[in-house]
Amino acid sequence: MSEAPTSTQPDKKDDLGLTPEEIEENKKAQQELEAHNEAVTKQMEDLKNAVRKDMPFVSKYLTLDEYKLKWEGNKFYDSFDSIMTKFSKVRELRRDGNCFYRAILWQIFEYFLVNKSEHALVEYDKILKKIEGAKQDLMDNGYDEVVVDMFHDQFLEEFKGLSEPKIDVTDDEAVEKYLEERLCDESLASYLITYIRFIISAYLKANREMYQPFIELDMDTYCQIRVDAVEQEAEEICIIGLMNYLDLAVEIIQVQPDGLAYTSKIPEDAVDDESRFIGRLLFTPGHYDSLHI
Amino acid sequence: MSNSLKRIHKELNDLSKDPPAGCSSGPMSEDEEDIRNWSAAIVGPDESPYSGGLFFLNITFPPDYPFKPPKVIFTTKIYHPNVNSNGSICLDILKEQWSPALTISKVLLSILSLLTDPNPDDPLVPDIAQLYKSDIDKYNEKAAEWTQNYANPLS
Repeated sequence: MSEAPTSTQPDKKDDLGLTPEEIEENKKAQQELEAHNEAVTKQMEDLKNAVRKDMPFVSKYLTLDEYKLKWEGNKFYDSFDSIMTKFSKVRELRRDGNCFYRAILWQIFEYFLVNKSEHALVEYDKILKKIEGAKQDLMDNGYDEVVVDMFHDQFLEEFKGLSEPKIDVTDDEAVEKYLEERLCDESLASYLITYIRFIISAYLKANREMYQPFIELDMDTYCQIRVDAVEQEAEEICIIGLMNYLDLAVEIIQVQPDGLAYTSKIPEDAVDDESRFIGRLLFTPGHYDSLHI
Repeated sequence: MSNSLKRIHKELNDLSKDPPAGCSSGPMSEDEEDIRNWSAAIVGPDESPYSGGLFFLNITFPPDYPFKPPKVIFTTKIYHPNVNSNGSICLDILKEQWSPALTISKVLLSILSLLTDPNPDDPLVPDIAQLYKSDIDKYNEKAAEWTQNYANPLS
């Protein structure tokens, strides 16, 4: 490849009738603006890194009492009392825009890793088939094979791994370590989470007639900048998309300013009778944590 | 090999099999350690004042590619509201709208369409954006003149 042509200074004539001083001033202002933008970007990056250092991707179990203490003096404080009647433990998620995705993957992986009941095995096989077919669904909805391949292979490998784990699944610590190695490892977890984002986008695009009315942006743009993009928080439509695509259920408990808690289920008629996987998430404003019985 | 490098190799492989129209790109050297540094050339689109020009770009893939966007800069001077004198490009998909589903091939195609349709409402060079909006003929003339001066493949 040849060298780029060498250049001389462009002649900066006063196209807009500006004096040389004004041009110089504009240039200076622009440089200052660029420097300012760079400084802001760096500041945001630093802030993100500070959050990262302070918080694991997924915390150890906290009792709901311990979790509630963090909300002392807050209008949501009393909501936790009603949550405690059904749940006892929480795992906190890092506030990095991936909280929903990481929490739900943790619960799905944990469930199928540990639960070897007949109905769990049937449900596992059903999801496995769906994931095996997801590569085609992604390519049918605009994803290049060069992009999909690695994400798909990585996810499939990890999901298949759940059926024959090389650990004692009755050992809680071993299970926790197994999940941390996959979902709290920056590199591997990024692939698993991004894959989930892609399959949600592909599902929403494949069913755009149904979902377009609920979003303001056009579907392709929405999926690119709100779903696929790294660190974009999941909106409700993303959660619905994932649950519908994999035919899974999730229960979301949302704290309320009046001290109560509101429960919603996706799908709405999901029966919580231990015959199927049901994700359990705690929603506090702008953030999901993982709830456990 | 890390996943990031694997992805870069896959894209390279894909580009050599099916290069997008009007662009060529690849690593600057054959040295494996340098695989993250690419150069690219794009042909000025016919329906733009950059027609007839050949523009070179440098591409750098960050260590956490594809989770972070590649850095792409023009090394050929270009008169464009969204490209400044350092060659920096103001393009949403190279910043906050980056997604790991995008590829270098898609990035180059977006840069080509930025040449055809500048975005003067999000300018990097305000005086050029101003001229684009107030006197498009003058802008076209100036952009064609720069193309002739700096992006002439025969010079």
